[in-house]
Amino acid sequence: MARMLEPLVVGKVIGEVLDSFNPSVKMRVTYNSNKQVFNGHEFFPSAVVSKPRVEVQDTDLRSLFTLVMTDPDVPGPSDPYLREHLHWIVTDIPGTTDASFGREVVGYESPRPNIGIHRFVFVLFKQKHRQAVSVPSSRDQFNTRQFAEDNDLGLPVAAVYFNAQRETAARRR
Amino acid sequence: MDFTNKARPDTPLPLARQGSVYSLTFDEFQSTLAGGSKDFGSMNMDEFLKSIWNAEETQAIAMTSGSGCGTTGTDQQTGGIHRQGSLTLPRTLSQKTVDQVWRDLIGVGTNTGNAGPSSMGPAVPAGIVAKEEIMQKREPTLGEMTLEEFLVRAGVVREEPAPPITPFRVTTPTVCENNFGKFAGLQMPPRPFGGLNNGSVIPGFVELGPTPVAVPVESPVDLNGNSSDLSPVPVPYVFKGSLRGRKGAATVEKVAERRQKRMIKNRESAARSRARKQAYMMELEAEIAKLKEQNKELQEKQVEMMKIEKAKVQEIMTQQPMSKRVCLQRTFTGPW
Repeated sequence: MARMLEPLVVGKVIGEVLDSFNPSVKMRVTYNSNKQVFNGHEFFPSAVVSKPRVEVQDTDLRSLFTLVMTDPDVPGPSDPYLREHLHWIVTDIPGTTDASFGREVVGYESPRPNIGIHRFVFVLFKQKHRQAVSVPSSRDQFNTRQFAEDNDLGLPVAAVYFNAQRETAARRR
Repeated sequence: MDFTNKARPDTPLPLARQGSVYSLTFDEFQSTLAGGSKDFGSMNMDEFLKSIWNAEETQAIAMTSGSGCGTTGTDQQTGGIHRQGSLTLPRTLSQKTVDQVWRDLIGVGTNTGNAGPSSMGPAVPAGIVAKEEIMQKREPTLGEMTLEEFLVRAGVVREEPAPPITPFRVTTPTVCENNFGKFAGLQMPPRPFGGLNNGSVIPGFVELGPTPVAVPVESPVDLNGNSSDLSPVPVPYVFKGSLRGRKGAATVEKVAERRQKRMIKNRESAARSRARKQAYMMELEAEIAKLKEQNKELQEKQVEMMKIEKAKVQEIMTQQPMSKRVCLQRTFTGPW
């Protein structure tokens, strides 16, 4: 399964946002029902305005999962002094279903990267039991590791990220 | 190494140490040039310096051809500084002979009464009377002095009548001081020499022209700033810096620092870009592998399905003799 982790390591998601883990659950994130999120692929901000469909696959209905989406490159990747910015938290997602079956603790915020190319990370945790996850007071200066620790979520079971920059930014010059 | 061997096969060659001519004493240097001691004394400073450089070049060439080490840089530096150095000798100095310079050195030295370097030999007492006596006493001491020290002192003494003769800590403009502090300590190759020489120019002779001053003015700033970081700073910047030198070393430093920061930021950005590209590539490859596998599985499944289909059809075929008749029977449909 190390093969799956390589893009996360190279993209520094594992390191700056998460610790190394064993991806045991398949997660599929899709925007607009046809654009699937693959590690390191670029999305236009206009394409990710609405919340995606997050499917938690091949596990059992009894397991519950928590999904977190953050941006570790705020305000800009060269000097991310506001790391991280929280975009979305959904808890109590039953296995084999998708995020719409869970409880949205923090509402989905559309990515609006202003400076540079940002990474947007989806992290899935397996809950030990149905729980009330502590709601962070602010979306700024969020820390995924700390959040997981505070809520006894342990290591992630799945993660994926995409890149996004300003809609009108110069690409491929 | 060859020319020194000619002169003194027995003496351990100081040249072997760092390849610097300047750590030779006057005596050794004189003998290598196969000139009498008197010749040296009455030689012009100009010629004196030229002869030193010649010797240096010869030595550098000998080193390169002999060792084959990376002394080409040194060579170029030597050559470069050779050209520069001849420009930077102050007019007053070049008119004098070595002897006169030495006399002034000693004269001032005795006035201030500071302790000189050990190679000076016995301290010359103050209030010397006879010139001849002085000459005699000085010859050996001059001879024992190293070239480096002589030049340093000459430089220092020339410009400031009463400096302390632990000259390497002279409190002249900072640049100068840094020059001496660094270079006196080092027994190093051509560069310090150029620096020394031009350092002697600086205090009184800033107006001489920026170009010759360029190298030494910039180098102490470089060396005393972030030496490790600024080593990649290319030569062209040196001259720019010298022209700006009028504003002060601090500004130049700030600009260099800013440039440095920009470069670092740029490098980081480039690294991130590369990482992004690599991650994307890896992901694509992983995807391809996954899809290929999926494809293979599906194809196999397809084959399996076909087989099953076929088998089913076969089965139906065998049953057909029975049902065929049934199929082909007339049916009682509509009356028309």
